Amino acid sequence: MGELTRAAAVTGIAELTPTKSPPPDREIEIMAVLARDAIADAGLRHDDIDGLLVVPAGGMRMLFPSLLAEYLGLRPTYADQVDLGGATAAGMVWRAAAAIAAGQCRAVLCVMASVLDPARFARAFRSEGGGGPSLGFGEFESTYGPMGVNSSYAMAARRHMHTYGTTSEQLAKIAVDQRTNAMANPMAMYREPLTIEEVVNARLVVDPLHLYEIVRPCSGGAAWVVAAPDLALANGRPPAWLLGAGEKITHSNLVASPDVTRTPVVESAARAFAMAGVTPADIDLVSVYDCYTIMVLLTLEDAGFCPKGAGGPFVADHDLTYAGDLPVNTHGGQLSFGQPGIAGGASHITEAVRQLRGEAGERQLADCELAFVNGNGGTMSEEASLVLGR
Amino acid sequence: MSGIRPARDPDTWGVFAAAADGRVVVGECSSCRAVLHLPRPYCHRCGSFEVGWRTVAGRGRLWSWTTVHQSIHPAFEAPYTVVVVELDDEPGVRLVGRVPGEPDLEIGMALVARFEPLGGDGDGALVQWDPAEDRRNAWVS
Repeated sequence: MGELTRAAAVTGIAELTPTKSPPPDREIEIMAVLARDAIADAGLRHDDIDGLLVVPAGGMRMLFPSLLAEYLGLRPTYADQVDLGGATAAGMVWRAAAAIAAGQCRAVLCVMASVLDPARFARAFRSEGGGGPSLGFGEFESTYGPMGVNSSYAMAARRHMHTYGTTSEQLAKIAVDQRTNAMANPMAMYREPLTIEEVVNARLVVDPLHLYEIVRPCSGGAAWVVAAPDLALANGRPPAWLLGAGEKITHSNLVASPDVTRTPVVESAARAFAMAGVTPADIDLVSVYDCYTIMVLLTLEDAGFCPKGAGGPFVADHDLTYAGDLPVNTHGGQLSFGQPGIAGGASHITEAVRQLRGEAGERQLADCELAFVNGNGGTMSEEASLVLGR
Repeated sequence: MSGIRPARDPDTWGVFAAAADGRVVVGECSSCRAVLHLPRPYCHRCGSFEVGWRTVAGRGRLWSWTTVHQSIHPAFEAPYTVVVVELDDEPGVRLVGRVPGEPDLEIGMALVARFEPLGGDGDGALVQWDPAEDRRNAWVS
């Protein structure tokens, strides 16, 4: 048991249904709606919120926490922005709990939204070949044909296949089981049935990854409240207690990855499990960042759900659906639920809260007491792991 | 050369300047000789800001690769293949390269450096990679 174990709980959630076409509202307006709804879902009043964790919206960078606080009419005693890519949402949860444990605040609103701007999305890959001092990405990657993030994960998949014999059909199984989960989630973007044959016969985007193994951009957002125990217990709904947390950052550029088939989840998950005093065998729901099929497989291995290298046969032999023996991403994961930019990583938290509360509807697990959540950023470079429980 | 030119950044340009001279270089600390890759003017090991370049053999092994089938930049028409090469002389130092089309590749295969002039008003070159053995399979003649 660590100092953060049961120091705080996720006690209110709000989430937009991801959409392909951008909503008419600006990101900060969406954040306001999400904030209002998450506070209400937590059974709290606006004035109870004294902490704020944000991701800058719409390209805003400097001083965004105070700007959003003013917009929302909050005067927090703790405010910050978190910048860990896809690990941001999970990273926010333990930061909020730490601030609460330190006595600096009692109820932290975490909020993120992303409105897809196709022009901005394209520009992100068109930077010229230089990033300035120590940002070699431009000179040493873009000049050779922009790799984008896709290519980094394709490189990981390729090496995993080469080293361990993992197959495209095994990776496809992840996308297929998550699609089955999405079919039971009315909020999911992609709900048509999907087969392994369809996944491996779909066009290659970045060899060896096929279309359905890669997230597709959309708009959306999520907010949640991390609150002190008394506030969490005052809500009528079961709190999702933070039991353990861990984080690890190893690099930024893909070429600087210590080992692209062994992610820093090894360290972040080990820390989270040790703090919670549980093991992967105890986990009822695996809710982990899935920008690509390979990332789910790597996370299962590196968090200890199966031995290193055994992920391929492991996902083939286990039923990863909500009706299965190892439920993974019961909301459909970002691959089928949608990945609304930075907010995509929040869906793994909101789903864990729903399952722990028993509010997951058709896809509700029979007895969900412990959830493992993982957020992954950049090029398998930032990892934040959580154990949440009833 | 079309596409994206490397910025003429004093911290990194040494790689492209050396390539124009037919050499592969890696950044190194002038004080403790630590390899600094990606190149940067600060040594994480000893704290020095005195850095330089070390010439290494233009040989490496294919670390991983992907064929990009969906263009994400107008200057690079798909399909093209991105390779990441680990240098024989400095395992752990990895350089990216680009190969036209969809070549037949295998992780671990031996590669040799080739130098592609940037042209235009620049005097640098990009380091690219060809198969070391069986030159009949070279993807650029």
